[in-house]
Amino acid sequence: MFEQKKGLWSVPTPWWRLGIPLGGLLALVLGIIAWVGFEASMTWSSTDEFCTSCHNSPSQWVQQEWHQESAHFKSKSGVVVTCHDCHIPKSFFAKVWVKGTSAVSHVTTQLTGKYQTKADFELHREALAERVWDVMRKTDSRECRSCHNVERMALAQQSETAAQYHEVLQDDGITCIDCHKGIAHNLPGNVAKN
Amino acid sequence: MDREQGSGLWRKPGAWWRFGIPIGGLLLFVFGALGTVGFNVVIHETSSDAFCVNCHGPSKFAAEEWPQHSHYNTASGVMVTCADCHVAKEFVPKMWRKITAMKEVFYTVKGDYNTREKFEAARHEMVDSVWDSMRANDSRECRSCHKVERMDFDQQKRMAATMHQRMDGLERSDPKYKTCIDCHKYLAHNKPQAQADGE
Repeated sequence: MFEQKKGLWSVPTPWWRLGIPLGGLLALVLGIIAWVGFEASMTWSSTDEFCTSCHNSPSQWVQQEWHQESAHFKSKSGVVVTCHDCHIPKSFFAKVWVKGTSAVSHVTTQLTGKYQTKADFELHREALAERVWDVMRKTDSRECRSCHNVERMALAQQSETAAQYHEVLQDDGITCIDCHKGIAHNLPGNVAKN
Repeated sequence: MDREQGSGLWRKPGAWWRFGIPIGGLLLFVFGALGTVGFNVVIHETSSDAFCVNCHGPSKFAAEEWPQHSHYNTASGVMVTCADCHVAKEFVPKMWRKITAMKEVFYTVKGDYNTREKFEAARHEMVDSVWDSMRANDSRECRSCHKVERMDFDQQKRMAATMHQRMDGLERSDPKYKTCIDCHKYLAHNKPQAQADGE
């Protein structure tokens, strides 16, 4: 009964049975490594280098404008702002959702060649901008607010109009992006004219 | 040796029980991942302002005066927390800071700084130790938010713009080199008071 066939499930010798706790330990370590790897990939795929690594992509074109004239690229105090600060949520589930859904649409448009040239992109700029603004309105400008807190604003240091608007911000259905458009990228032609 | 009849831990298990091996492996894999999540959460939570000022000690007294300083309220309302200036963003220095924080627990238990008076009396010493570490790491925590290459010098005062550009061009070993903290002191906490007007 004991000396059975040598299959996967044959009874191992006492020394081999040490494989059970060792294998368990290995699984535990693998679990740790897997999660660290997951977190690392999340971080790495949120860098500016990664965002703009697709050749001839909207991300690459908007990055060029961002460097030139954006108040969010160079500021008085030199506080660093990156793509993901405005475009990827900080909280876990929202972050995974945005990374997943935007990856699908970005990869699809890249593969189907929807935006071959900057001119193609300019044709769609308004629609693309509106889509981003809609999301920001829906989340009450969540990504703006992960850095900027109205309660921490020194209203005395702001222009009078700005200070007044910020003070009543909570009362009305108005949110950051309603006023602060085009602070990192060029405005679509139609919007800029108004 | 009769395995069939053994009743201990190492007796031969029934066929169905052997499924415990892959299932146990999977379980431990999930355990490892969950453990890492838990670790991250603990690290994150112990960097919150609420946690920092929990102890009745220097952090609490320092936090009380913080709202009166320029790094609390800014024109743009950018959020700054204790950890932004006092805990490194990089993994190894962050862990080191978390471990050395044990001395803060020790002082709290001993009650070394449990009154404002004791805190003010020791302030010179404490401020020097923070500045020393900031000088030693070239104001690493300042620079995790502020980068000289991303400063708009036109918006700065001329003297500030000149200094920022000059320091950026100098080597750290240069005797004329200054790091952030050499000029930017007391932007979150009060100056240590002279012994005389302490009480």
